[in-house]
Amino acid sequence: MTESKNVFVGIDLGTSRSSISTSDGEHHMVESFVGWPLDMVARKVLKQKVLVGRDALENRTMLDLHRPLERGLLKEGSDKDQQAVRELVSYLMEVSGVSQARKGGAKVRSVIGVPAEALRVNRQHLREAMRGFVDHLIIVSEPFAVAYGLDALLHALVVDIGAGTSDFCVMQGRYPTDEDQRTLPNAGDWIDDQILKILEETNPDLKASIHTARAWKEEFGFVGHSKKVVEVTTPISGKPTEIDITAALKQACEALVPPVAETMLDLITSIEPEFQERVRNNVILAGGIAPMSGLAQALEKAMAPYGGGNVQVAEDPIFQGADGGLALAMDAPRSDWEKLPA
Amino acid sequence: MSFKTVPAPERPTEAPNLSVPVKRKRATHTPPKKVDRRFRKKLLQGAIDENLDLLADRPLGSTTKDRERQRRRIRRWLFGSAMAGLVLIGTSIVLTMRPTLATGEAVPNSGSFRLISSPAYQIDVNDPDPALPSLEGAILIAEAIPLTIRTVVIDPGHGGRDGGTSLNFGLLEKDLTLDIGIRLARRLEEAGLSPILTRSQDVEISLPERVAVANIERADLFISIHINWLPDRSARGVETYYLGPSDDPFLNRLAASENRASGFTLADTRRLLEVIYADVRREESRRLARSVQDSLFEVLRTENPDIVSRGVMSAPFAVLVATEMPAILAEVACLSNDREARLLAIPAYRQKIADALAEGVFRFATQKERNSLARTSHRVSSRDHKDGAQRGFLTDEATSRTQRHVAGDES
Ligand SMILES: Nc1ncnc2c1ncn2[C@@H]1O[C@H](COP(=O)(O)OP(=O)(O)O)[C@@H](O)[C@H]1O
Ligand SMILES: [Mg+2]
Ligand SMILES: [Zn+2]
Repeated sequence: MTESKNVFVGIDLGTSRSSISTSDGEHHMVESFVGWPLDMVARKVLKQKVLVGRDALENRTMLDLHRPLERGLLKEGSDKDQQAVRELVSYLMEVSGVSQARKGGAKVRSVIGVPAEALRVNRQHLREAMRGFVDHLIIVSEPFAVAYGLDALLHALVVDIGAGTSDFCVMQGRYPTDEDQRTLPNAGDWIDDQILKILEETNPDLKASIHTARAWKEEFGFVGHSKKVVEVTTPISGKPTEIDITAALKQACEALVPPVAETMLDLITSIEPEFQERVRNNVILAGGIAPMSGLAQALEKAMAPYGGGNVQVAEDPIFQGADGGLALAMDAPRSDWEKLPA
Repeated sequence: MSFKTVPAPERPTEAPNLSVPVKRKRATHTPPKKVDRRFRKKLLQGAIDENLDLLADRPLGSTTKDRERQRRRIRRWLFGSAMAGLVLIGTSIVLTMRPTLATGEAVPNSGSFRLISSPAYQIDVNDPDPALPSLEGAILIAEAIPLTIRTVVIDPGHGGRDGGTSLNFGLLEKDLTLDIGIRLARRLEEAGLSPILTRSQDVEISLPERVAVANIERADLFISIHINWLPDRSARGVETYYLGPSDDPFLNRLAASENRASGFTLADTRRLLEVIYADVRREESRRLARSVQDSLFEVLRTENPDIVSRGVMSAPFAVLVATEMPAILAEVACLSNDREARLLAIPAYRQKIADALAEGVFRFATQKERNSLARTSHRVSSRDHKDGAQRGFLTDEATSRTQRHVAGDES
């Protein structure tokens, strides 16, 4: 009797990007957009029943576009969003060859990260959405998966700033409880919003989409000093106009620092005094926003009055969640997997 | 103030296949924090427990609480009752000893322990360090090896109303196995391992319960201790079993008698057997059995020159079927043989048996470690790197634990 092959999978379903890492060494990412053609014409033009990722975003005018994981959670009560999550997962399973392996009889054992604040119902919805794609499923808090993947399990603070939320998780050698975790709504999307708001104040006729603001932030966003001047061309009153967005960008990006720093310090002061210094010196900045110029330094500066600290930027913001999930999946005992059907 | 980056774990594939280009930040590599494997295990366990709670629709923390309760109970057994258990055995052995059964035959006096020919077999329970050369070597090996084996469940056979075999000199199998089990636990603990006893008192425990302890504790090894009784009274010696089918009717009968208290039906056993026979665990169990058997034979031969190695055998014992880790059942002596029965009455000899079992575990662990090192040395992955770090950590810890023990600073 030969045992069927197991494929281990770590999945990070993010508000803006979702990724998968598998025990077969596959790594794939897709932007978390799913769109269905709005009408017959659109369907004929696009030649597809459903579009996923960047394709969906670029053809959004012809699509009923969904970003099913608003604030990292599967939106509740919407069949379309449930369906959209399944499309995302289906895409990831296909490109990584997991679906094929499963058809060939392999058992798929997956770990998925969700935001720290995800409730029981959120998790149950996710479990349902995963049915049919995986055989066994463990759902963990996303910053925990990141911490596990980086081996930052003791006296460490993981700050995961993504699109929808900033998730904080202090690791003290135990599975994080509610007290060890915080979630803030101030993250990438919020910065995008701020950029538009600030620009619209000075240029009421400015027409830029949230997607444009996001692209500006990703390319030019910064915190602190910068000698560079950021000038972009964007329609104002219908006319392409060159504007200087340096100050707006700076203001919007820096607005993130106070709430994040405050939450960090709040979490740090809640742990035993003798370990606080070690945690301050072991802050790990993760998520898509983490590499933003000047952010880590600004957070270090915010800790200075409290004895100082060290903020490290985790490498590879795209796969750190999925890789952590994969590490968990591969370490989980076989006997436990059997008890955790999808 | 400069900031460093934490390297992401290496991945086997080069460039990830992405639907959009990925910008990567240049990184200066700092090695990942060295974290005790136990932390990883504990944290992972927390995540799993939470999922089990959610699936079973129980309040969060229920599974962990159950697990902790179980662990506390076992710790209490181990630390609190070890001495009580010893006293209990001592007393029961003294009480049940029947001097008239003495054959008057002298046990060969090889080395340093007393010749027993006196009709009253006093067992000195206050003699924790018998006048036998202790197995310093075994402890040294344990210190030197990185510990791939950590949690060892020790299962003293029988107990309570189930006395196991008895015959000569009123010795009961259940008392002897408990005594040897406790001694083995101490030995492993000194070497920095985490032993867990399925029972530390004279209580009846069903086989499923014994198995559950091992499985719940995610033990790395399971060792069931028994004393043989053979129809041929002149037969003597040690034998070690691992799980497997047997076509020897005597072995099947023996298995049946050891399984009696099992609570497993024969059908259950069959079904489980079919699942497990193909398992890799079987090969590991066989190696563990081999290692323990060799060690028993080598070590005990110095005190018991006529000892016979009855070999490593496979048989369908229930405790071996349902455990999820390499599992063996050692018949460490023959109570049906007068000489061995009398040797068993001597604490020093029981200590020797415990030492031999421990030595078998250490050898198995060393061999396992060597194999895994050989395997990993030509494979490059970040995981190996981490394991290396953990090994170092555990070895240090094992050493300091031993030192603490020596210093008498026991909690
Ligand atoms: N180089 C960059 N600089 C600043 N922000 C970035 C950069 N790359 C991505 N982002 C932002 O990071 C966020 C996505 O981060 P991610 O961790 O993938 O989020 P999620 O897990 O919520 O999907 C988005 O707001 C995106 O605009
Ligand atoms: Mg994320
Ligand atoms: Zn027995």
